[in-house]
Amino acid sequence: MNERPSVAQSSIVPRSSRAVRAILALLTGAVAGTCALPVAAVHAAAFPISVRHQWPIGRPGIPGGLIVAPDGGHAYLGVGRAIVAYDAVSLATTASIRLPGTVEDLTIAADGVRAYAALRDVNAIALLGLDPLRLLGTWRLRYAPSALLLDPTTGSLYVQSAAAHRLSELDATTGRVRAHLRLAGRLQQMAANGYGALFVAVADRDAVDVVDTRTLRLTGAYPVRRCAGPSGLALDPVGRRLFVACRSGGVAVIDTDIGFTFESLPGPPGASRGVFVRSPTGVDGWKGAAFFATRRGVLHAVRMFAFIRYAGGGRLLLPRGGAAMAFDPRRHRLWLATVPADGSGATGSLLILGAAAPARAPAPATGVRP
Amino acid sequence: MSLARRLLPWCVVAILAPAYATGARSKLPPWSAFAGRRVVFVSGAATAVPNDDARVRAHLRALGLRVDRVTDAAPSAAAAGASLIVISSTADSNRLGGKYADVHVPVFTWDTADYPNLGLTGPRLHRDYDVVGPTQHFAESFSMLYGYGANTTSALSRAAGLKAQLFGTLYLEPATVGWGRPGPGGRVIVDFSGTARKAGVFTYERGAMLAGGAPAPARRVAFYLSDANFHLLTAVHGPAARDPQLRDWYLGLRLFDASLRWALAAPPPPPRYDPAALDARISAVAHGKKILFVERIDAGEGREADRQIVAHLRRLGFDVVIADQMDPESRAAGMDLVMISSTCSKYKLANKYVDIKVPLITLEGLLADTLHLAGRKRYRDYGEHGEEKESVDPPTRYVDIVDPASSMAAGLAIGPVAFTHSPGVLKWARPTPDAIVVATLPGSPAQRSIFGYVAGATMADGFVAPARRALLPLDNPSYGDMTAAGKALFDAVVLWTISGARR
Repeated sequence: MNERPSVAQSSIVPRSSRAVRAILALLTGAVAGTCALPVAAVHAAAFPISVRHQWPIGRPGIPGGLIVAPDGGHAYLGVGRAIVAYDAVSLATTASIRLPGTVEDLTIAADGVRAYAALRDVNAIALLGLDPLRLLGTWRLRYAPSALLLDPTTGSLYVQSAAAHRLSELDATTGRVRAHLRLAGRLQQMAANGYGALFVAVADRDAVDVVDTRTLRLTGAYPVRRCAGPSGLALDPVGRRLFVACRSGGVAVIDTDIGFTFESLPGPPGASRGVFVRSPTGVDGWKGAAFFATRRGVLHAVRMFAFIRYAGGGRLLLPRGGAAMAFDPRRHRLWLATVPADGSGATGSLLILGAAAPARAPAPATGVRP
Repeated sequence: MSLARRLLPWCVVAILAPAYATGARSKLPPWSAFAGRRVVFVSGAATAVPNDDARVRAHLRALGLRVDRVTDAAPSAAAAGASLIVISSTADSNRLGGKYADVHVPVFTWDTADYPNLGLTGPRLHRDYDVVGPTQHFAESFSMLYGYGANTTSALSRAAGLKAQLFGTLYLEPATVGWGRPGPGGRVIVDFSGTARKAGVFTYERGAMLAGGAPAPARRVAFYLSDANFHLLTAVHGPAARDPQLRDWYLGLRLFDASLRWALAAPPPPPRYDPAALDARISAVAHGKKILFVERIDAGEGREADRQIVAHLRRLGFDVVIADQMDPESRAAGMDLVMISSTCSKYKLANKYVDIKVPLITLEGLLADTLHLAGRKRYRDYGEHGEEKESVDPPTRYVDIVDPASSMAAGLAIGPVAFTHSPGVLKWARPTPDAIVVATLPGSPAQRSIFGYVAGATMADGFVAPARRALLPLDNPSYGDMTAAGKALFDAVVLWTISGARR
C-alpha cells in the first residue's frame, strides 16, 4: 500500500469543518485570509513551523502511536490493527504489518532496532523488529494497556493502563513483569527524565504523579497550579522542566526538581499530547519548544528562551484533532497524525510540519519494502 | 495558715507561670480558626500593570477567608469590621496616604512605598525602605532571591519553620523585592544581604513602637513581595518535599501563610502595670528557686547595690547564693538563674557562664560580646550612656519602652520611663533580631537597654542560646536609686528569665 503525500490541500477537510474552523479562526483573532486555509496559523508570524506535507493515512481507525527512528530514516504509525512504516525522506509507505490487536500506543528503543506496541483489545504488548518491520512476539498482560514509555537507563518498558489504574514495569528484552504500581485517578500522558523519575499526568487530581523508576514506587505528586485537568506532558530533561497542558486550557511549567509551577501560559482547552523539542527549527531558530496537539485540532507551542523564561509560542489549527505526535530531530520535523472524520471508512491524516515555507511535495517513492 | 492561703501562691503560679514560661513560644492558631474571617484587599485601580492580585485573592479564599476587594481610593471605613487589611503593592501609596495607619485592624502589606505612611519605617527611600528591581538593580535583585531567617523563635517564625540560615525567597527569576528598616518596636523576621537593616519580613505587635514613635494600633506585617511575584513564592512538592533541607529552603509561600496567620491571630492581652501583683507573681514563682549572684565580693563602688539586690531577691523568696567573679563556672550547677552583677570585671570573668544551660541575666552591659548578646565591636555593638570616659552620650535616667506587650515590660506603657531617680550610667547593646526587645535608650532606638533571648534563639556570632538570656542596664551603684517603674522592670525581667528554667 502506498499513500501519496501531498502539499496541504483543502480537499481533505469537510466543508462543514472548514466553516467551523473559519469561525474559530476569526474568534481567536486570526488575520483575515488565514481561515481560507485548512491548516490555519492563528498566530502565523509567531508559530515556528508550518505544514509542509499532508496526506490521508488511508486506513480506518484512530492513530495510536507515532514514532520516528533515532537515525531519522523512518517513521512508524500505529493505526487500527496495523503498523505502517514511512520513509522519512520520500514519505512513501515502505512497509506495513498487521497485529493481533488495536494499537493504542508505540514506543521505540534507543537503538532504533526494536519497538513496542500497546494492543488494547487483546491486553498485550507487541514486540516489533524494525529492520525489517515485523512482529517478533507478544507479551500478554492482565489489563488493557493505554500508554508505553521506554526508559533507556533502566532498560525497562513502562506500561500504563488507564482503565486498570496501573503502571507496570516490564523487562524490555524478555517482557517479564518486574513490578506493578497502582495509580489513582484518570491517568494521562507519561514522561520520564532518564534519571530516575517517571511522571504521569492525572486529570482528576490536578496533579502529576512522580514515580521512582528504580523502585517503581510513587514518591509524590506535583500539584499543577492554575490549570485544571492535566493531560499532555512534554519534558525537557536537560532543563528539568515539565510542561503540562491542561483540559481547562493553559500550560503549567514545572521545575521537576521541586515540583514547583513557576510559569503559567495560555493554551487551548481540551485533552492533548505533548512533546518537547530542542531547536525545533534548527540552530538559528527557537531554542526549544513544547508542542501540544489537542483532540480538538489545535497545535500550540510554548517557546523556550531560557531555562527560566518561556512564553506562549502561538498556535496552528489542524484539519482534525491530533492523535499522535513525534519529532524527527535529524530533519527538525514534527510528525503528527490526526483523528479521522466521523463516518464509516474515514481515515485520519498524517502531517509533517517543518520550518521552511510550504513546498511542493516530493515525488512519492513507489513500492513497499518487505 | 489555712490550706487556702497556703495553696494560693501555687494557684497563681499555675495560672500565670505558663504565660511567662512560654512567652514568645506560643503557637499560632490553625487556619480553621480563621475560616470565614473577612479580609479587605486593597489594590490599585489600574489593571494594565501585570500583577498577581487575583492570584493572592484566590489564595486567601482557598485558605478559608472571605475577601472583599477595595481600591486604593476607597476610604478607610471600608475596612470597618474586617479581621485583616491586605495592601498590595499595586495600590498607589500617594492615594493611600496614611489612611490605614491608625486603623485598629491588623495590616499585612507588601506595598513597600506605603511603609512610611503606615509608620512601619522612616520616610527616606534607600535608607529606611527600598524597592529593588532587576531593571535598576539587576545584580542586587539576584541577591534578593536569598533571604535569611533572622528570627527563629517568634510564633510566626516557628509556624513558618524558619531557621537561622539562608532560604529561597522567590523562584529563581530576579524580581522586584521590597525591604524596610523597621522602627524600635519592629521585629525583623527575614533580612537580606546579611543586615537586619534590610528587613524582608518584619512585624509589629499591637502596641509596639512604630518608626515614628507611635504605638501600632494592631498587628502589622511587612512582606518582601511586589506586584507580580506572588506566584513565585517558593514551595516544594513531590519527592523533594521529603528532604528537610529542601523544605527549609523553599519556604516562601509557607512564610507568607504564617505571616498572614500571625496577623490574623489575636495578640495576647497587654500586661497591666501593677507592681504589687508583679511582686506577688514573682514571690509565687520564687519558692524553691536558687539564684547564683555573681559579683566582685567586697567591691568598692557597687557593693551596697549588690547587697540591696541580693536582699531584694531573698525577700521575694529566692534562695540566693553569692559567688565571686573568680569562682569557677561550676558554681552555677543546680541553679535556676545566674545573675551577673555590674560590679564584675569583664576581663576577670573571662568566658564563664557563656555556655551554661541555666537562665542568665547580666547587669553588666559590657559583657554583651562575651555572652554573645551582641556583636564584638565596642561602642557600635554595645556600650554605655553616661560613662565619663567611654561615652559621648550624657548620663540618663530614662529608658524607652518599645514593646509593652512583652511580660518583661511589666505592663509599662510605650514611651519613656524613668528607670532611676537621677541620671547615671545605663548600658545598651544591639542584639540580633532573635531577641525580644523591651526598651531602648532615649533618642537611640538602635541601642537596646532591656532585652532577652529565649532558649534556642540565635544570638550574635551564630551562638544558640542554651537557656534564656537577658540584659538589664543597671550600673554599679544604681539599684538603690531605681524608681518604682525601674524596680518593676527589674522584677519582670527576673520573672521572665527564670520562667525559662528547664527544671
